[in-house]
Amino acid sequence: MKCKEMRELLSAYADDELSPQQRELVEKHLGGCSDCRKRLKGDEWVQKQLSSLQEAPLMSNFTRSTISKIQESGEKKNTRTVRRRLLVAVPLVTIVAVVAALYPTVLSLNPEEVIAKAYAATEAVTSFKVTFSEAVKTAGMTSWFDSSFYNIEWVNEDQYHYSTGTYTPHSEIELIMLFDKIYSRESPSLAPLRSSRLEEEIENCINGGNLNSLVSKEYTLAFLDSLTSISEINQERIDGVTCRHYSAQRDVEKIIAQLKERIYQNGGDPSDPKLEGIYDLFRRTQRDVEVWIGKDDYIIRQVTYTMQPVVQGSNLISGGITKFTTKYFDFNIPIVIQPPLDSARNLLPDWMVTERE
Amino acid sequence: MEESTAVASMKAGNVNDFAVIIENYQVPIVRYLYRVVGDQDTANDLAQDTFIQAYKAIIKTSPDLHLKSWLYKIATNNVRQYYRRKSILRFVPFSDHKNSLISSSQQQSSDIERNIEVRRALSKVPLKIRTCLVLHFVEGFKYREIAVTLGISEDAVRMRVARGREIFRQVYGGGETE
Repeated sequence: MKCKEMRELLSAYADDELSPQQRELVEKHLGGCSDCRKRLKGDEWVQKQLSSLQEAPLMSNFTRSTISKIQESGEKKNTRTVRRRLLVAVPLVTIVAVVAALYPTVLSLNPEEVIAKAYAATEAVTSFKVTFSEAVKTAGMTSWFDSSFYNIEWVNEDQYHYSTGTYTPHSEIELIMLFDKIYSRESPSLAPLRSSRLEEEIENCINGGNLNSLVSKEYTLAFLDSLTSISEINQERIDGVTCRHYSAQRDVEKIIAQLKERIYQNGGDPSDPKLEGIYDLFRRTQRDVEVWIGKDDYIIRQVTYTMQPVVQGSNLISGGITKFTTKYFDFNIPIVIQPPLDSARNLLPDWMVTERE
Repeated sequence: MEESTAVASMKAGNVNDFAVIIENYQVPIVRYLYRVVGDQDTANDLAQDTFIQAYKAIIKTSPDLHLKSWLYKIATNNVRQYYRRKSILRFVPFSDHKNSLISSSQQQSSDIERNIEVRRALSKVPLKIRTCLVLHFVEGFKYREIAVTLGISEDAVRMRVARGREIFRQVYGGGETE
């Protein structure tokens, strides 16, 4: 056996994880190979280094605090009113009629033309609601695990309202972005799990962070613009609207160019060498997209987006597959984002307010 | 109280008996998470989430549940979720891990410095390989146990541990290498 083929076995040999036959094979090889003896020493050295990491930085009242969170969540669960997700099918008769008049149905459009029309129609939308959810399938598993969601009312990047959380354990945060103020609360009906979650979300909003990039119109347009290898599948109805349905890929170089532009606009340096790793991760990720476009109005209705690492060892999502589902609805129905204030302009209970600089 | 008794008692609705399980596993679970994510507060948060999820799900588990593997499995899933939030959803990585790795070290000694170097090198190892390294070298799992915990084959574990050693050695840049 060659030394290269021996490497995996040597590591397992150092860990005492070989069958007697494999052991014998390795020992025989080691007897005649000084390179592998050296390598074995190296393997044992790594073992020693890593084994030195034994201490655990436990917080002082870990058990008590965990138990009380469990109890809190149990009590609240009993009284909680079930919050339904915002997703409601709304007939789009009016918009469909208007937009259909502008875009007479053309039967023989190729996919690229439809996507171009979808771009224009979506660009013309003045407001919409979105739900965004994330499901995960970890390596070796066959079923999807729903992990987190966003329900968003989007007007523009200075005015939006959303709730977000995780399914298991069920947690929820609500935020209202209104120009220079961010109002936020943890869902009063559910136990807070991680105090840092809310701060993270607020910080994201201040930085013009993830929400913009997930569901804003700007992002949606950039998304449509990046589609490539588009092919038509069967038509489907989404929330009662017949949709053209396509599978596609995303042009990764275009995504990177968009990202660079975004970094530049946010005052960063897109050529910072530290970002190369990120760009590289993008290139090492396979993206499969399905998109549903309203048959008559060409407005984007739904996207599913599956990401998985192309190359083994990418630490992007650790070998698992992540599937995002975005649904767009309630187009052009004026959305007014109201601050959580009472008639005397005092903050409602449970809410806090953060100033954007 | 024995673990199995505690599990049975919990299934009967006694929350406080879950304390036995938390007491038994808090140190290893926090240590594991800390080694994988490199930040104390995050490790403690994720560990709490792990126990809360375990509590909620334990009623539905079968009597022959292997509690230890199961807890590490939940913890590992939490890590994945954490990194997904950090690295994908944030999209633009301006506020990257601010206080990871080094912030917790206030004392100065060569041991601690070396420890920081080891941790830094470990953090460069891709997540799925890193989880294997930590489970094996820090938590003392046999390959078989890692395979069960992560739902992969023993061969895959062996490959990851060997590959992890290699990457670690390259990044650390020390030791008796070839």
